[in-house]
Amino acid sequence: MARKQSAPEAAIRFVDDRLGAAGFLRRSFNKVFPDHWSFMLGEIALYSFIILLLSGVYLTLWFNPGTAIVEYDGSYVPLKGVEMTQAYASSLDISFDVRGGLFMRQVHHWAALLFVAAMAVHLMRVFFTGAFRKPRELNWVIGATLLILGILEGFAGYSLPDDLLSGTGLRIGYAIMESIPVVGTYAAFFVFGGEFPGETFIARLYPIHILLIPGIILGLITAHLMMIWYQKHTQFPGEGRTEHNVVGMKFLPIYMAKAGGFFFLVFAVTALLSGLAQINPIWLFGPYNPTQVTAGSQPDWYMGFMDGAVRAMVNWETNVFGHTISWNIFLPAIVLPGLIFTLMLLYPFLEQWATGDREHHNLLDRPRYRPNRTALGAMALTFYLLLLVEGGNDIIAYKFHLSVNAITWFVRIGLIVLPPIAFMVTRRICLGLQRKDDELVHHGVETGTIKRLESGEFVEVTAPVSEPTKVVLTSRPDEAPVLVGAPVGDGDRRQRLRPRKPGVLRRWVNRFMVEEGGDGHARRPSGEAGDEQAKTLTRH
Amino acid sequence: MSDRDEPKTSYDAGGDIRKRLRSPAPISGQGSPEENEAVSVADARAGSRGGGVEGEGAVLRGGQQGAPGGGVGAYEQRFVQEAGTAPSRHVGSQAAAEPPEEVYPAPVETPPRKTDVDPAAAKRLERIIAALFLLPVLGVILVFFAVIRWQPAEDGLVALRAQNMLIGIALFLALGGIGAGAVAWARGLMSAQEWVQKRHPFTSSDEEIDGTVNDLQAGIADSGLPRRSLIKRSLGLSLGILPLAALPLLRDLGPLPYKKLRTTAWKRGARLVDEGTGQPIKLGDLRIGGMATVIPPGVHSHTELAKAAALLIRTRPGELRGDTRQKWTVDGHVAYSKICTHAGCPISLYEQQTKHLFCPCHQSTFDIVDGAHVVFGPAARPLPQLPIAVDKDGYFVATSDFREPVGPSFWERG
Repeated sequence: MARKQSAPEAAIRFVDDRLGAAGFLRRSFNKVFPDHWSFMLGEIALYSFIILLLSGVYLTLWFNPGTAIVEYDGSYVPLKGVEMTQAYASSLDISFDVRGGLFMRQVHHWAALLFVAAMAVHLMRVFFTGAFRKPRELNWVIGATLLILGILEGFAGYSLPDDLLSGTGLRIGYAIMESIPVVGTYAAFFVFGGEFPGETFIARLYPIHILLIPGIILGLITAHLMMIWYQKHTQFPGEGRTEHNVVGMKFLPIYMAKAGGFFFLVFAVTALLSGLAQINPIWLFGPYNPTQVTAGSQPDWYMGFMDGAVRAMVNWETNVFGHTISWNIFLPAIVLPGLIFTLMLLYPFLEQWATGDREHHNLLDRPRYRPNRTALGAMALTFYLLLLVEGGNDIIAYKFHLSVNAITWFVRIGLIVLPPIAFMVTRRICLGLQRKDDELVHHGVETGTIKRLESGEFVEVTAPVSEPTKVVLTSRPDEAPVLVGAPVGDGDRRQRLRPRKPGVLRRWVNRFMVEEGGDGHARRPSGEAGDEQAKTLTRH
Repeated sequence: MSDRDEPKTSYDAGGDIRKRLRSPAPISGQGSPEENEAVSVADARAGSRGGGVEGEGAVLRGGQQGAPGGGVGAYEQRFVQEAGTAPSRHVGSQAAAEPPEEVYPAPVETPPRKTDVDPAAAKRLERIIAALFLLPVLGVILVFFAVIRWQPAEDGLVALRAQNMLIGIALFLALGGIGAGAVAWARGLMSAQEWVQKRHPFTSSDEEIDGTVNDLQAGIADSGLPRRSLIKRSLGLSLGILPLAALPLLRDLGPLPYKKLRTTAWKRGARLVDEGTGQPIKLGDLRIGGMATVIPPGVHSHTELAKAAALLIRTRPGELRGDTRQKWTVDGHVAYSKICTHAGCPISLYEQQTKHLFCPCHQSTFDIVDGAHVVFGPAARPLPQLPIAVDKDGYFVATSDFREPVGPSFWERG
């Protein structure tokens, strides 16, 4: 015991004596993380959630979700003496009579917008690079669930202050519940404690917003991160990178310092936005009053697609045997989001079903190598963006002096016409990029130097691409997995034991997704023939 | 392997592995003698190492003596062979005293940065990072200043805006200083060494899976569940029925709808009270083309107002036509429910030129001179018309409640 321990040694020994964690810590310190800017999108979501927790706790210290009517007696003169709920009055107090309260409200709101936006963009990254493929399907499901919960949590949050805008959102929410066939009226009455707006809903929403949903989100984020940690992060193709390794920086100290620093940077940007850019100025909207509404009522951006769907929907309603079904709300506000989110949650399994690919994948796809998937994504995005545009049709009409009716008709038709066009265009672009890669590999980079051959022929001198670039350009998987008789793959023994002939639908989808002809792979010039082809291409 | 040039780094070895993995030979275990030898070399190394091997040294470093390029390849070969048989975690536990070398990453040849070769540049960066780390001091001072300098409660909105702005900028400096400093430190001064680390198959061996499946089946069999169908079914029933206990406990979440959505606070003789002024409206109060939001007298409850809100609009005499119930109008005055039949927003925009009511929520548009039928948008039904008359004092009154439910549709509406 005479030997004096260094501080790190003492710390490690302390932990190991109690938890036996030295080995775990050593492996963790040495964990290698691949680096790419797009891997930081998920981090932004994580950090904005932490900011939301911090600023949210701050707001709870003053917010009062009561719906009793009080007469406002705070610092904001225009509303002095106006009757309002305690929820709205306390939101005003946070904005005007708590030092820094307005700032924290704006931090909370900006961070919420950022949280959902970062999750959405992160999801796109994971989708387009195929990071969701086996073995990471479960983490995709968790991530997609987090996005859905984030949207609900945001809606719950901006409904709490009980201002005119948030009350209007809840009014529509009530109508959406009413539109559910058979049980809709009962659902609405039980959720709101009677007719809209009632006197209990804000108080009910509050624990859901500050406890229930954030608790679930926190649990799922923990699971999400543990799975990333355990399965190791995917990486883009590159020199020395294989399906069986990770190339990057060690967790200690580089990744720790970078990720920790990035948290502060995200927080800094949120703080700057909250200081300079006003958001949700509830004092301008006034207290909720069911007889009033403001022009240009807009939900937060992540609810915009749903509002857009409701706006674009044609006015169908049926009345059969004394029962009314409000298709104009039920389809766009319940069926459509249900369909979108179900497809999103199941996508990894659907693609696996279509391609029969049951391999483990640790190298990411470059989006161009999966033209059909990329095109599907572009198609979905087009659909989504059209709905988002429609959600702001009144604002767009006002700002650009357009007819709101014309925008709505454009979106109605566009929702049917544009996604397939987006699919075809994206697919062509992907194939074109593949051919360009092949040309670069086989033909080289153009140097701009023209050489005249003895025969009098002119050729351009090309330089071979650098080795690291070449690795990336030739990283296209050798062949697309093709469903022949039974799914391929190493892990799933059930499939091996019971090979089953795929059904007609599955074969059709499979042919569309991967096989040649429908496949979406540019013909790859290979070997000498390919080089010949490349040369021929060059000379003409 | 050995007749190849030795790769300069294990990084190259990684690239080599990839090529080898694509060829079926090593996977099927029919590698060349050299490769098999490589396995034994690597194994020998693993065995010969006692405790206390350094983390860095423990990795197979290409070019290192005793670790030919095949060393990593050998691992990779084992990796492939083991993929279906045994998880490497278990392999690791065979050498219990020493974690398997493959757990720890191997360095990759990394080009030096300016700060690696130029001590002056490193020193300069160090000073910049230190300056960034000092920004929070300034930021915190500014936050104190902002909160003490302005008292929005007394000085009003301008002070609030200034205070808010300064807090934002101050915290941007403080948080950004820490963040930028940390990132610059990591990028410029911490080691730029890149590492390559093996991925370990985390799937279990077939034996392990079989064992698990057997144990699970044995456990189920031990419980007798499959055999004792009486227990199975009664348990299933009880678990299925248990959640029903929650229903009566949740009964008081809300009242039953009954006919509540079918009626509003309007009744025969109720005066039309201007929602803004609180005064009843007399015939002649509205100009032609004028509009007022009207509510029944003495109604303050939001829940009642959410259904009862109506619009009284004065049109030119003779202008009302079509589906408008002429008997329910007075001298060009007509009253409609203000609550949109689509999603229940109060319709607030009235376009005098076209005589259209426009809902700002989803742009449903209603034609007020023609029974408020839907001209555009997602609403399916016209706005219900409120029957009105003028009482003996000249005030507008309702002659009854709305004759149909107002607001959005619901299942029982009929």
